[in-house]
Parts: sequence; structure tokens; C-alpha cells
Amino acid sequence: MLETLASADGITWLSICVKALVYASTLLAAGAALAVLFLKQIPEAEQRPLRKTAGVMAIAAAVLSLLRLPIRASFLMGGTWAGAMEPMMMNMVIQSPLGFAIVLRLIGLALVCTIMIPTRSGQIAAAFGTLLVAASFAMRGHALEEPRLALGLLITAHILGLAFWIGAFIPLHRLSAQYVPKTAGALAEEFGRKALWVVAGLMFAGLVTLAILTAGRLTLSGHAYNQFFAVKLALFSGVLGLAAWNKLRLTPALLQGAPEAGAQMCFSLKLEAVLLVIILLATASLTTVSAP
Amino acid sequence: MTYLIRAALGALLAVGAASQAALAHAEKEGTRPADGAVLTAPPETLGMNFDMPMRVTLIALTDQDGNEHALTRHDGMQPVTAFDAVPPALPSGIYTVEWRGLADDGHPMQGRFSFEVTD
Repeated sequence: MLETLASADGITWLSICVKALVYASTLLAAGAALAVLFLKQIPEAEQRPLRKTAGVMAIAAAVLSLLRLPIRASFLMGGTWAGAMEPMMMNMVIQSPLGFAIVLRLIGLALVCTIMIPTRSGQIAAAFGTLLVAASFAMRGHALEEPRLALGLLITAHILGLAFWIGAFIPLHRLSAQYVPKTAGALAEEFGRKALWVVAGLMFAGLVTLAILTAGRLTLSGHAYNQFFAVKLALFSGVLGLAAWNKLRLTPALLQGAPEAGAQMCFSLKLEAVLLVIILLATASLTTVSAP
Repeated sequence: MTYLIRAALGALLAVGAASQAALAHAEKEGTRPADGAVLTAPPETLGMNFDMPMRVTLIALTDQDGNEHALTRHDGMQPVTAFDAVPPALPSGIYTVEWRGLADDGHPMQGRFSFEVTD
């Protein structure tokens, strides 16, 4: 795995970094919108910054997603900057599944921005936007294998679950930092209750997707792709452990007004966020350098 | 605690399931000549087979001194499962073919193989 990364050229490293930033900004945009839509315990004063976050992250995700096109063109021409500007190569990339996925994501991100309009129609459009954004990850790569519809739905569900999880971090962290015990506790309790289903769905979608793609052949090998995946899932189990700690220990402490609970929740959320960033980097590396 | 146990079990299962996920990518099934082949005569063609259509966007043949040898190709950069390119008459030496391409599922691919031509 490390050998694969060490042998990667400059354009591959740039591709990994931009891809990880696309993942992060897209998940934050969709996640912030989902948090506004589905977490009823977020106070009105906290909704405004969350809606703004969704909009800003949507714009960042759109710009970063578009940046992937010339980077891909450059890779295909041997990692040269001239390749990034080669019209024929750019045209080929735009017409590839990556181009279609980006177009769908841009439409989704534009709709996500409507979360900034606090009306019912704005919320419905944003909800549809999050669906398109998540579906855009199912328009290429593994999702194009058969059974395509099932894989597409599973990957879309997986992304939506992950986005909801990440989106909820923002208000949870802000409220814990401000330490308004009842409000933070109520939100953490609501998130913990809903996240239980989201986590179950996320893992179910991930496992079924893997089972379909591997056709039941479950053996560990030294292939870099498998090693990346093992690292990613080990990190994810760490995130799950922290999430369980938040739900079982810190949320009751917040609700009881324990003096240190707010600071502990902030620390735990930061740790979860760090692990998630590493997971996104591992995923970006996994999908960039380790294809056979 | 039950939640923690479930989470750990799920993660372990997923780690196991992660194996061989790479099978879903496009794969290079073989090269002509085979990687590491030692030939007594220069090859008439250089080729690769893929398990799904691939647009080969870049292919380069270099010798042991780093000199590049031009290849003639007729695929028009269209998606193919069998790619062929014609090299010039090659003197004795060790040669490396490096390629990049775009698979039908959108995955960018790259690879290399080597062969030796002896007297």
C-alpha cells in the first residue's frame, strides 16, 4: 500500500487531494442540508449558520468537482499540464461516466443551495438536491456493474447516511461548545436515536454492496486495494466506537447537566472528524492509485 | 455495550468483505509479448487485452537507455478490448511499454510491462 502511494506521481497526488476535498465539501453541503431537514431539535438561531454552511460548501464542492476534469485529462496524457488543456482529452473525460456524475452533482448542489431559502419549497428542492448529490456517486465505477439498479440505490443510501452523520456534527459541536446543556443534550439524544438507524443502514448498504461486488469471495489478500479498504474500515470502526461513547455516556451526561460533558462532547466530535478526514483521504487514495 | 459489540462485529465483517473488491475494476488480462518475455526476434506487434472496453490514451515504448521508440496504432483512441500497436524494427535490448487509459466504467487505468529482445 505505502509502496503504491510512494510511486505515485505529482498529478496522482493532486488528484487524491482534490478528490478528498470533493468528498468532504459535498458531504458537508448535503449533510448540513439534511441536518436542517431532519433534526428538529436544532434551535432556530443554529439553523441559519447551518444553512449558510450548506450553501458555501455546495459552491466549494461544485468548483472542486469541475477541477477534477482537467486533472483527469492530465493523468490520461501522462500527468502533463499540457494534457489538462488538451481539448480532445477534455471532451473524452466530459463524455465519460465522470463527466456525467459531475453534471448530476452540479445540479444536485445547486438545489442544495435552496436550503438557504427558509420556505417549504426551498426545503423540498434541497431534499431532492441531496438525493441527486448522493446519486452522483453511483454513476461511475463499481456502481456500473450489474445489478446496476441495486448497486446504485445502495451507494446512494450509503452516501446519504454518511452525509447526515457528518452534517449533524456541525450543530452538535457548536451547541456543545456553547454548552447549553438542555439544548445540546436534546439534539445529541435526537441525533443518537436517528443515527442508530442511519448507521445500521449505512453498514447494511456497504456490506451488501461489497457482497455483490465480490460475489461472496471473501478472502484477504495483500493487494493494495484490499489493504486500503482494511485501513478504511478499521478507522470506521473507531468512528463507530466514538459514536457509541457519545450516545451511551456523553449524551446522558449532557442531559443531566454534567459540568464537563460539553467539553468532552466537543473533544469526541473533533476526534471523530479527524478519523473521518483520514477515511476520506484513504477512500480518495483507494479509488485513485490502487485500481489493478 | 451491545451497540459497541454490534459495531465491532459489523466492521470486522466489512473488513473481510473488502477482499478482492478490486475485481470489479477493469483488468488487464494479458500482454503481447508477455511481461518479462525474452524474445529471439523483435515483436511485430505490441498488445494488451482488457476485460472491458478501454480507450488507451497514451502508450510509450522506451528502451533501457530511456530512448523512446514511436509506435503506430490504428484504434483511433476508441474503446477496445484488444489493443495493438506496431513498433519499429527493434534492436537487441530491454524494452518497457507504459500505458494509460480510460475504462468504460470511468476508471482511469495505467500499467506497464517489459520484454527483452536478444540476438
